Amino acid sequence: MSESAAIAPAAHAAHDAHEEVSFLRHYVFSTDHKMIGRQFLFLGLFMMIIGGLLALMVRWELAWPEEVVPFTQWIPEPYMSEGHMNPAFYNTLFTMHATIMVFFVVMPILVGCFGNFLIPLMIGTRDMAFPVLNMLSFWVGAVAGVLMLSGFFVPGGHAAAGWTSYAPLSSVPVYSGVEWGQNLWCISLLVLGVSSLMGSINYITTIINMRAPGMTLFRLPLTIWALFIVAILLLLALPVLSAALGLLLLDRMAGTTFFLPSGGGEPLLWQHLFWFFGHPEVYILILPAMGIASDILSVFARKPIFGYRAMAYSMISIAGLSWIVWGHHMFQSGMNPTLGSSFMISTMVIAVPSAIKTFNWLGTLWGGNIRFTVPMLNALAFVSMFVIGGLSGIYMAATPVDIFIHDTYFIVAHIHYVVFGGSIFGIFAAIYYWFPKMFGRMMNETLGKIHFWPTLIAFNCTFFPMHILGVGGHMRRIYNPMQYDFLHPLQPINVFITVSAVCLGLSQIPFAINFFWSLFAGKKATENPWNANTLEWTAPSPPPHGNFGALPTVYRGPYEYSSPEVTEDWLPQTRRLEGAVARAH
Amino acid sequence: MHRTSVRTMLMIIAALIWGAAAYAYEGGAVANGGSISGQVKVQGTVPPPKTLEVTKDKEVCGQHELKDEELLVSSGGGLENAVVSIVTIAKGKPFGPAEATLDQQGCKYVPHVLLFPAGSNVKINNDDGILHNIHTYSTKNPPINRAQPKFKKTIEEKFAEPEVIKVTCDAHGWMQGWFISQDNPYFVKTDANGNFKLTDIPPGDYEVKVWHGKLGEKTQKVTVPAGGEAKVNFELAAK
Amino acid sequence: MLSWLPEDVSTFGPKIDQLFYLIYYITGFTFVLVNVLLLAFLVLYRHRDGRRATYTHGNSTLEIIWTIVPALILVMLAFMSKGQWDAIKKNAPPADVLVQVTGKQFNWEIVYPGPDGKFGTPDDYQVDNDLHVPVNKVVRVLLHSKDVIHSFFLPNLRLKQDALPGREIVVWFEATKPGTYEIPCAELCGFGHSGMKGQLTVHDTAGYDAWLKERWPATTANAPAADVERG
Repeated sequence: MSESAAIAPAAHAAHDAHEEVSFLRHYVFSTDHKMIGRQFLFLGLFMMIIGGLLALMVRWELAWPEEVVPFTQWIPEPYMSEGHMNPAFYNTLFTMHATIMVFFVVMPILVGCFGNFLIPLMIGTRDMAFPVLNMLSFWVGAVAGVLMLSGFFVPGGHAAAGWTSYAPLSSVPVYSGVEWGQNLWCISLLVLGVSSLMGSINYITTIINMRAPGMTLFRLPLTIWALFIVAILLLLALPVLSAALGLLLLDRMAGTTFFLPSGGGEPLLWQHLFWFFGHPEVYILILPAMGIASDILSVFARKPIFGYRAMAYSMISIAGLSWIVWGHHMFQSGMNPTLGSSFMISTMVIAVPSAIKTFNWLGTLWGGNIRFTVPMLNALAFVSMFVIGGLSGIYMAATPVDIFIHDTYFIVAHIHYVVFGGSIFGIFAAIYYWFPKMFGRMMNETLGKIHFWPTLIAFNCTFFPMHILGVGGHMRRIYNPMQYDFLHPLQPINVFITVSAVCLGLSQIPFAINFFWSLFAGKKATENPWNANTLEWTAPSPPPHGNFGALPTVYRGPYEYSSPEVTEDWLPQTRRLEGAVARAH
Repeated sequence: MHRTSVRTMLMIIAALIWGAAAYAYEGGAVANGGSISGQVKVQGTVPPPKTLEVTKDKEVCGQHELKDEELLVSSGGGLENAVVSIVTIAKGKPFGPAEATLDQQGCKYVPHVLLFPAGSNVKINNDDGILHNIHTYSTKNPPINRAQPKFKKTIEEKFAEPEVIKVTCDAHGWMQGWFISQDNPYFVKTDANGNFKLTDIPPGDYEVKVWHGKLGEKTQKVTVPAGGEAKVNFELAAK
Repeated sequence: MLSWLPEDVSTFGPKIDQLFYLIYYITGFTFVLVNVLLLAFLVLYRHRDGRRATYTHGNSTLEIIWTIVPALILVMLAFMSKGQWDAIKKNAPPADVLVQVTGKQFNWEIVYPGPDGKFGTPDDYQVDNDLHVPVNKVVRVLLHSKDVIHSFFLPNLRLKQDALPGREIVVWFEATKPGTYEIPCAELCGFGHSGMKGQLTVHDTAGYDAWLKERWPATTANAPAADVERG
């Protein structure tokens, strides 16, 4: 290990002291933020497989309703009858697909993995402010995951009221036929909320208090800005979800009637509480990907990010505005139409910062010296796909148009363009980019491209036609479109989408192969394979416990690529230039 | 825990179970059994059964005209599909769970009123090849709300407690029927003329009840003679 | 893409469809602009030996332009939307025909008040899933739910409204053309949600009169004006 020569003797001795840590303390109950980050990554990737398979079952039923679904004969009654899907089970499938993807894939990977792994490294410190709390946040999250999966095995089946779980369908067991499954869904998310809160406290404290000397707020990479803002959003939004889940559990198990009119309750209360959390939640899902894409675009265009302050301020305004738009999910709910109009205005306004970011990303590419590495390809796809998702949101913001497209596949298209096209391409970009730092090895570029191109094409073939289905009036959450005469002409589109979805699933195989093979046999990574400026690239790959030898000092912002001050096309944050004064940009 | 206190607990539990068993119905041979027979009639005029409107799955449900079977009265005023039973009886003829079958044919429940001993396995058949749904409105037994898609030809449900249970299909709003789960063997449906007969009853005094889905309940006291027949007639007011 | 919209037979349909098309052109233009620029930059500014990127941190003028222009467009869309939204959801016009629709698992229960125009009287007629209305008349629907949240969706009338238990929501529409249309439920309501549908029959004037006579044979005056809204 040539890196060990670079480590100062004090840190080396500290590293030796940690050689004595047991397997359990090193790999399982680690308090090292990097190991915890890896744990979150494995949890998220495992759940992504489950979430993806659930989606394929949903898609199969839509394309060929009431026919045998292949490979499902082992699923017992009453869910499947020798491969035939029970309508109640269909409802469970889309409910759990969405629940798992939102709560157990995107959040653990973007916030749990990359938040944990990158924050101390990118701000120049040895670990999080509260390492034990950090370790607990993973294990509490893992317990939540086990609870969530256990719901599949209880009588009555798993939750089946949608990931949005509207009352009273979700609050009165006899309306859905689901008993303990829905209760476990609530309890699992309550536990996961605790995990996220622990993480948020750690991230906020660490970023505020533990930045290296010279690392002012406006020298932070946008990835860290995004994670910081997201941590604050989580801290404020999750308690509202927890309250809603608590009320739902009480209605289900203790005979209360918070959501039941016959007992003086109000169904819309659930929707207000859920979406007051739910809207900031979807910005929690996208903001880290936006920060990561900004950083990756800058690195591989070899140019500073265009409009750094505008980018930071627009993320702050997206986060602030996200608290006052939640009613746009409820335009048709029976809520007062005048209140709906005020939500329409705030929703139109929140599109502006995203537009600013899109143009700044284009500005970053303009005049660049672009290298098409696999992380860059995924970051570029993020920009393009996120724009489609964002533009489709404008139709829904216009309340009269929303009358028609609410609860149709137009909404499903929008969701998937922003969460898959946005967050998941962002996740792929992040994994390909930081894999060398996390595991000390490079992923294979060729396999990466074999993963990227089919994924991009199959993704668009799967989700773009859903806009057309929505325009045709195709409702969400139905298992058999053929029950409706007016949907018959649209059915060939459903078949095309399902075939594309299967291709999309298969396209992930090169990624799985690449990931696991590279873990053990990938080319050993140098300290800074991408010639990037940010602090994590000054530590070994992977960094030892304690990250840095001597703690770094920061002299400039993270985006000084192609700077006229040096001949190389990159200039690290930590590099001291002769005669240079630490300038305040 | 102490061994002695564990033993005491086990003994109390055993006593409770034995005690509970002692209160349950006991079946066996009946010597000098008598019978109760009679007729249930309707007092007042009753409109003819109306035709049910089929507003869904017309290709299957609209094949034959469906009549509302909730209130069927013969020309002589006899009430069909009423259930006559002995309210409480501790000992009598053998009794235990039995097979009961409900058919869904042409979007109609056959029979309209299904009688079975509590604890029986009820088979619910879907012969129609379309989606039905079994929804029971029961309080003593756990309520059931289960889809029965076309490929699910039989669902089995168990009803452990005695209860009168309304049964509907949520997919087809006009489908309605009744399950009568009983904890003794002395219950029977009236025929098309309102006649009924309960047999093999140990001699003694009993309370006899008539129940009808629409016209309600009435009870009467009766004495069953050894080896003889007691006559009981009921009249329910038309609604 | 918008050619897939179902046929519009609603008096408030054209304004909705116009807004739909306007947004389609605006978003389509933006999509093309962004992607053309993206692809152009990827080609023009790809790495070549000897190339160095242009070192710039941004441009304030551009920031202002691409903040204000989208903001103006979006606020304009908001104001264009409000009028039509209020007309459909808030300010229901006086009703020519009144009907009560109750969503329940898994059917639409429809109650007609009958010639006396009042609910709760003997001439009410209740039926599942069969909604008959006259063409060119304002139909007012009193929307209820018996159990969970359902959603009353008439695609060809560009109408959708969630039905909530515990409250009555007033919904209105006026059909411009006779025909039969499906009434799907558009809010997940349980395992029978898929397949929950009613049928809307829009009659021409003669056809509606004939249907009224068939339903309520006793009455002689069958003009729709008898079914005036009763508050």
